[in-house]
Amino acid sequence: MSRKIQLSAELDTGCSIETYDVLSSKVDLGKNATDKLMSKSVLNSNFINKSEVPAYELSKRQEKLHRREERGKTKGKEWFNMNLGEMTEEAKNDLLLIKMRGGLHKDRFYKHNDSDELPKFFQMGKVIDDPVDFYSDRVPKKQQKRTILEELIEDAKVKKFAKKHYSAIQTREEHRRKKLSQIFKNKKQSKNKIKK
Amino acid sequence: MSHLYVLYEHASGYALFRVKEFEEIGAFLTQVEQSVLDLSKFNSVVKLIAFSPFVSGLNALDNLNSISEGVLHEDLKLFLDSNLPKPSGKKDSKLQLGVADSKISAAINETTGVSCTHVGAVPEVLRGIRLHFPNLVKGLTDKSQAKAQLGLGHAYSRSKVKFNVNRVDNMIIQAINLIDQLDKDVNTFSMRIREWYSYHFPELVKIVPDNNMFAKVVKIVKNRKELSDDALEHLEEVVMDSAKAQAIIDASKSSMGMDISPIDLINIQLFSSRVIDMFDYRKNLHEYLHSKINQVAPNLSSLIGDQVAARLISHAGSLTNLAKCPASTIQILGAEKALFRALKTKSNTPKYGLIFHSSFIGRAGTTNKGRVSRYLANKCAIASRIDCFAEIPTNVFGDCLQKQVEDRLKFYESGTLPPKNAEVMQEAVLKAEETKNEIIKKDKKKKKKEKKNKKKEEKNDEEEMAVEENGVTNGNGVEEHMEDMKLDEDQVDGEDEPQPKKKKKKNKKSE
Amino acid sequence: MGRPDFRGGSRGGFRGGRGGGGDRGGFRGGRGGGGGDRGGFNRTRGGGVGGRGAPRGGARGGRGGARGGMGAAKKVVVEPHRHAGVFVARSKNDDLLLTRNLVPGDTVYNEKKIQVDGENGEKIEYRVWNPFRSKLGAAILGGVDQIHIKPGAKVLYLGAASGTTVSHVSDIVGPEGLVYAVEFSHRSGRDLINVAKKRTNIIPIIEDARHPHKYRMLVGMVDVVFADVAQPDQARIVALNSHNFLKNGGHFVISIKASCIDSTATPEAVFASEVKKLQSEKLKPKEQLTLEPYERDHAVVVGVYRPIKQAA
Repeated sequence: MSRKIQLSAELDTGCSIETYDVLSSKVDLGKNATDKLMSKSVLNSNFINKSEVPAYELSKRQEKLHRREERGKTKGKEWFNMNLGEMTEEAKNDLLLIKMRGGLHKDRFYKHNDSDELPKFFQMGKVIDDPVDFYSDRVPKKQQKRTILEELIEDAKVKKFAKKHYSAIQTREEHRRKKLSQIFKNKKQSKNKIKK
Repeated sequence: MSHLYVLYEHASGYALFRVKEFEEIGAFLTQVEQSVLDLSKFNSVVKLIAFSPFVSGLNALDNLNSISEGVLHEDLKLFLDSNLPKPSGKKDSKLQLGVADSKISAAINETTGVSCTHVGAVPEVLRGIRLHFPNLVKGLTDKSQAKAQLGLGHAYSRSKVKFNVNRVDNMIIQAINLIDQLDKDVNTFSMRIREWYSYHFPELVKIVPDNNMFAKVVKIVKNRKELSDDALEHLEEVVMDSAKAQAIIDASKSSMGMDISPIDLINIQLFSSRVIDMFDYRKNLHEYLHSKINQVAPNLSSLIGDQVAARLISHAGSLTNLAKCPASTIQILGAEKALFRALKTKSNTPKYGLIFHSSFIGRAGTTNKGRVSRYLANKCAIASRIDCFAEIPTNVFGDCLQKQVEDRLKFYESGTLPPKNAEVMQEAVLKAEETKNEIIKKDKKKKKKEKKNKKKEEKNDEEEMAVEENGVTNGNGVEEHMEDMKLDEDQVDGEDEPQPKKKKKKNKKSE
Repeated sequence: MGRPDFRGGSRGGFRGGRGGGGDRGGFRGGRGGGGGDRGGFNRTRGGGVGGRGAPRGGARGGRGGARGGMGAAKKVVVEPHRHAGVFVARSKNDDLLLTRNLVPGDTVYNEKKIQVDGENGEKIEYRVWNPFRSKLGAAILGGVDQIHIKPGAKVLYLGAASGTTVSHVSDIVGPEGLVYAVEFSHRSGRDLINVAKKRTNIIPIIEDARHPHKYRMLVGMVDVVFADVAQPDQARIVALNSHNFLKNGGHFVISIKASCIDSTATPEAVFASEVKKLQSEKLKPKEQLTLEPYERDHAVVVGVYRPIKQAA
């Protein structure tokens, strides 16, 4: 929807703001002819900060380096120029989770992954609901999660597994502790015996 | 020593190449094989002599059809005649034309007398030409080649598949949806007229309860104070009841409604005429739906009626989808919500969905409604499958199935045993075969007539052509041709069901 | 990308059938040298998609397939697959094979879609590829070494059927590539044309693949021939089409259904005899793979036609 009200800044006063605001380069008035011409120029506002005049042409080596850098930014034409994934904390957690999900689903087989690193190229996506889907297949908006990790925490099966696993560890620990304490006691007793 | 020419048929036109003269075929073959990979090397082996693009997409399709059938098309004959060098008197210079297929080689040999071959070095040369063709012909790029192939491919495949325009079911889906929408709208509009006009003439609603009639009466009565006895005839025509017409006139004289200003009256009149139009339009649409569904699903419609049949198709998404549905699904089609609720709460599942609207279920007793619904759904499933997969649709099976449902209803009422299903179906199959044969016969007669007409027209055309021929030039470049192909592609992109071009023309002629 | 090196002499040139298929993960061993410069990101080698064991839901076919085992997972991570133009979605439970949708918003056979927010607010869409419905998809998941179908490639697809797999191939080759989809049956041809209407890189050809000269005007030289025709004379069909339309050094990918060729012989014997037939037609098989968990008694054979000798 377009706004019907005209802002005062949009009114044509007959003289451009540029004439008053030469010093501030932050005011972006859109690209006019000179801007376009100067777009490739090195003599921009940043020029004064540089210690030396940059070379007009990059050397072959530098060009190669530059190209390599550019190439590293996308996965290339063969994967439709997939961009580097943004490795935020959440993304990292999700990727780690996927890496270690074999531990959560003991009943499943996951192919061995022979790389220790997290993937560089990835995108966070979501499965789109189809109106044709059966209602139990759809996830209501309230139950939708932001990340895979959050989904996992809410997963009933995983919850159950974690609980079971946790209690198993607990009992094992308890058992171990009891055993240890028994041994300790025995030792003490035997020591006492010797003393006697 | 022999001169070898190679004919290459491309989606955008015919091309003729001259192959470098060679002495021994074995040595030459290896040379070609080596050169195929390199364009410059290949260029030294073959040379483009002539390229003639197709005039239009239709022309291209025509040529493609002849080529794939192995028939020599007029255009190709003309192309060869004008571009192949005339055999000279010398005996040792033998001219040979290389083609891709044995059939076309025989056809060319027969009509033009040029000796043809499709073996030896020819396939290899053709492979090379196919690989480098965009580079060999000026103005043709890889992209434009793909476009030509795309347009022609779509046209060819579509003509092969033969979309029957008369059997497109999505028109039915639209029509039934529109009818439903119209019903709703017309109803609300009629209520509006009643309310509006009742300020002026409140008694009329009681006398004329029918919506359509009410709108028509409003148009005649106008201002009730000015209604005279002359209007009686008109009123009678509309309400089709002299007592009612008289009652209207009587009521108008002693109405308790308030007076109305002429400008208000004009607006009411305008609106009521709109509503009357809508009623008429709805009626037309209904007839359209009737004729359409009789073409698309004759059996289903004669079994359960146009409206319900159309609703079923619309709900399933298409006739094919409906045919894929099991009878149990058809039975509760339209009652999904109730079904899922029933499944969730473990209560009773619904007995019927859309098929409730068929007259059979209304006629069945309360205890038998479920049974009749199940039986009807079974028959609907059979009818929809016959409609979907029958090549020549008839409504023989639909009538038989309807009879069966009737018999079943009678059985529930009075206990008279219906005839056995196998017997009924056997009869139906025989009958269907008969009607099918009749239809085929009729079609053949029609085609013969069309052919005759065509021949006549062609003769006329030829005479005209002979007159015009002097002015025609053959200056169509590749670029121009490409645009034709583009047009073709645009058609491809269109959402509507495309119809084969040939058919369109035929229809026009028969009209 | 280092090309896998299948030099003839050293290993007989042709790896035998997988047969038992016990060790799918150990793919590396079957590879002759090379491949060192694969790059760090090609992490998963043998097919890449795991999580296969548990959910067999897809075997039901129909629409249920794509959904099998997906459960209530909504969020996924999309990563590039080892094969060009193919992607993988990883969720908390399992992995899905994807192709990038050429026509965003459109589905071909009610498959699931995955949406990704790209840069500058553009929406990227991926379609889930069900290996139970597509032999090529099954081959990729089974860990085929090369499919040769990649962005920009021209593919001759014999036996296109309703165009479900063709739509994924058209996704892979992208707007620069072309798919010539040949199908003889009119009924499925209709569906194919409808798919092709929305995807301008598919050229539908409703014609018998046994007679390539009938559609010679419509087809240019192609990089890859894919055949899934399930006919007894499949090898001949592929050979005929390759002689006409396949580039020197082009590749072929054939899915062989053993029961369609000879229902009495053992599948292994049928595959071997088919491979022999191919070899006699200048079609040099390089790899064979059974599609075991996805299809019974099916094999995919990948090879090269008239290999170009590289200058030493």
